[in-house]
Amino acid sequence: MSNDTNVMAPEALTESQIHKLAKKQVPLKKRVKHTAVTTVIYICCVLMAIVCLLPLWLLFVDATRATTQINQGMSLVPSRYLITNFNSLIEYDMPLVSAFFNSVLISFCSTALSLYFSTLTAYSFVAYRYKGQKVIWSIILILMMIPGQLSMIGFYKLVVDLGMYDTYWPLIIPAIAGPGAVFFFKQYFDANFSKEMVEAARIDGSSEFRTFNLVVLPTLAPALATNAIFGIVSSWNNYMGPLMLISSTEKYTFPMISQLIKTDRYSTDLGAMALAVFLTILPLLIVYACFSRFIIRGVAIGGGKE
Amino acid sequence: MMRHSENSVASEGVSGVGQLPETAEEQQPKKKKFRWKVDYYGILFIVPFFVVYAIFSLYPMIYSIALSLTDYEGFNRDIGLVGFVNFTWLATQPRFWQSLLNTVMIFCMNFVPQMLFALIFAAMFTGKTYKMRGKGAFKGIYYLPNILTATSVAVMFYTLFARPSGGLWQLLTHMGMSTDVNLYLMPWPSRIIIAFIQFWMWFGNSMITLSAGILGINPSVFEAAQLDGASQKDIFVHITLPLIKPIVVYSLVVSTLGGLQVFDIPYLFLSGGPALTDGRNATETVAVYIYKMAFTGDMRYNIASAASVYLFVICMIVSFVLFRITHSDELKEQKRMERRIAKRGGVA
Repeated sequence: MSNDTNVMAPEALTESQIHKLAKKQVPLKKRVKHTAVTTVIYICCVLMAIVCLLPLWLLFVDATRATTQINQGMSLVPSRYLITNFNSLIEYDMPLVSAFFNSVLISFCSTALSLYFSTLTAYSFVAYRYKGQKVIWSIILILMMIPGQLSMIGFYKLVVDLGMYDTYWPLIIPAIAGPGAVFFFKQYFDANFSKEMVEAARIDGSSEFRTFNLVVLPTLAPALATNAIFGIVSSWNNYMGPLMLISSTEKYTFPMISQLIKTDRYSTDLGAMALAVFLTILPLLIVYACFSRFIIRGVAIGGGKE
Repeated sequence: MMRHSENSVASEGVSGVGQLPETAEEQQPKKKKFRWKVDYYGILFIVPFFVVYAIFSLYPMIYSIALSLTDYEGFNRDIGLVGFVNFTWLATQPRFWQSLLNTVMIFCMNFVPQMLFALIFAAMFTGKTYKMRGKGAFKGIYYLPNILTATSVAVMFYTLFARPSGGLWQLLTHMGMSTDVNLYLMPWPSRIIIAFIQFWMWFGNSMITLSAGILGINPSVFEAAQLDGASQKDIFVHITLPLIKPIVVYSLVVSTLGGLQVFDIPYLFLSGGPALTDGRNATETVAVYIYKMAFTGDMRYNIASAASVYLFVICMIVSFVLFRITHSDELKEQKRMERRIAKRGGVA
């Protein structure tokens, strides 16, 4: 056991520490302690991973079992009723497919708008100098702190007055004015913006809009990608907006499916219900499987707080 | 008529906000010869943001505040100003105070363990002595719940804790809980489950934010401490913790603002509370209360607006106080670090 640590240690430590270790000729007691602590750390991490994954796994297993099986007791092994459950879901007329495409439409459009106009707004704070700029910037910072609940009732009334009730416009257009995204891009600009490039483009006779669209936007690619993922996910997960503003079932968004699942019509067929919930999670699981590294890096630099 | 006055207020608000520089620019040509400066494009570029914000956020906010002063209920067409009646009425409503209390309780039960665990795990993940493998995979697993749709998560946990078919309910009975217990009929277990769902969803986010904060600390600070013979524990308590305090407080502010507005999970989990008389509304948060007031039953828009104004004021006070604390802390911290560095002779 102690041999093991000896082999492990040089890999795991920095050079200066290796020298120190070699000098001290680490006593056996310390090495045993090191192994013990490492084991405890791994056990903690694995336990937490189980806490994070077990509910999802139980849900998936339930989705593959028949209702009678689910009532009999918990299981960690999938059964073979996945197809049966799926067929009964189709029988129930769950609007999964249309809701999926509705959500895709809303989240992609709103994110595209949000990205373009947030970068444009942030750009105006780094590329130009005008009177009152600092005041306007602090106003944007204050807007970030205002809770959305305050405007909820007024927003609903406004949408009804404008005749936009039960349409997607009120879910897409407000994305243009997202103070959080502006703040994110301003920070990115502060670290990466080169005024020389813009001035070179200006001397070459490029108009300001053209410069922004063709010269500045491409340099933002990494930040755009990070923000796009978070924008799409947060728009996808938005529940309160559609709940207030969408009334016809064929216009339901994906998160609203969950609310249908809880109604009596489905709640007797536990297997189909579990499958429906799992299906509402599935697209995000796939997205996460593809982009998890990217997403975690985004969270680490503070892009995930919205 | 009321609408008209609001409109003018809204547009005034905007011109006061966005076009302050432009008025100055309009006055110029009378005195000097007007020249379109390239910097004016900056003003042009922020116009879409502020126009959309004014229409879809600022105007609704003012509209909400105005509604809170009226008697607009249900399909009442005949609206009149009633002053602060709604606010005083709300202040006498035990259900409103209960919803506020529920929000705070659910937030505390979620946030305290979340931060504690996040700190412990961040310390383990960034520790120099006990370097571990598979960090990326663990981080990936911990963050996964955060990305899932809150409504799906709420329904998922609802089925998993349901009696008698839910997997987690059965797990609890295996661990010694009586099989007669229906968790959804009892106020405290329901609240704890909702807090647990929040914890489950946000632990990974906090942990990654804190680890990033720890990794962002200048490594030479740690090296200096190590050369001076500080133990791992000392380094964590006396160097890491004070240095990531701003990030902890930042998380506190963001989480508090989010926690005060939490809606999806309590609404879809038990739609506000166990259906029993004594435990009714035990999991109703302020946001759920506002939603129910406005869009169910009597559609009391005025009461809901007044409640949202209360919520807004509370959020503002909380974030102001918390930012005050961080700011003074940062100044103190900076001075302390300066003194330390001066003592040591300019390390870091």
